[in-house]
Amino acid sequence: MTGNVLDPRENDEWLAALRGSDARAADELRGYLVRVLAKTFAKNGDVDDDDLNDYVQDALVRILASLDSFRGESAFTTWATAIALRVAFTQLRRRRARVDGQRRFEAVRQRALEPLPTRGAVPGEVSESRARLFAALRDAIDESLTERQRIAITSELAGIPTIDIAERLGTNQNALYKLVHDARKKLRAALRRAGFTSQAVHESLSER
Amino acid sequence: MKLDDTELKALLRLVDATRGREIDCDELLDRIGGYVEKFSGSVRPPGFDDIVQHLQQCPECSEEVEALLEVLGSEKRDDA
Ligand SMILES: [Zn+2]
Repeated sequence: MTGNVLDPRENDEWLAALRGSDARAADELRGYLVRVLAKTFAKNGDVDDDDLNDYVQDALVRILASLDSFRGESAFTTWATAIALRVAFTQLRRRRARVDGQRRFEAVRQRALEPLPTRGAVPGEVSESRARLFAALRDAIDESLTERQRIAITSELAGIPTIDIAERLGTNQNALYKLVHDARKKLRAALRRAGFTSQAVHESLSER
Repeated sequence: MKLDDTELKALLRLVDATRGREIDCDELLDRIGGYVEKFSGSVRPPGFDDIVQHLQQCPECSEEVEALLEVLGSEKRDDA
């Protein structure tokens, strides 16, 4: 791998060089990131050299804009690699999700907004305690969650990629995580209020 | 909202593993570098549980962290 090896630099040397617009340091970082992303996506037939260069270009912009948030808890290159992977995977997921995304999302959105099925329509093999727990969960979804939260959760459970859900809802991966986290908290609280302890939930989940 | 029993069960697992405070994807990205470098197995640095908890709830971050561990491991082998 000669020609592509990074000059060993301490973290503060990296920061000083990049803050000082040292073109050589930026080029070395670019070369390094292209190499690690090429390794990561070597198995993916749908990522070519142009894609890699685009990902790294966008990653460099984000890295240079985030230098102040580098906390020095790892090697600088490790931190930069984590950012480059976030940027690359996000773009790749976005592209993959576009394929057939709208139609799939519409179907799930419709389902999320349909009224609850009538009670008691639970298949026979489900035990009574689990049926009660499921009914409580359905009630909690219906009563505690916002429309966006219901759409987000239904879409996730239907296996729609997060990036696609985020785009359809006009948000991003991080905000969607927060939206769903808030929804999970509301559901957990509603189950507790309905008398289902954590242990009761565990027992039900381990039932066949 | 129509969810079948399999989906309800999956949701129940996620709800059950929910905490009042969880780190989000951006915070995970801020912190992950330090953890992967100290990922030697037996020692669990403070805050490690927050990372694990987020990864259980977030397939995207899991995919990225897996790729990070893989590529850092491979860089190390190249250096050796
Ligand atoms: Zn995440």
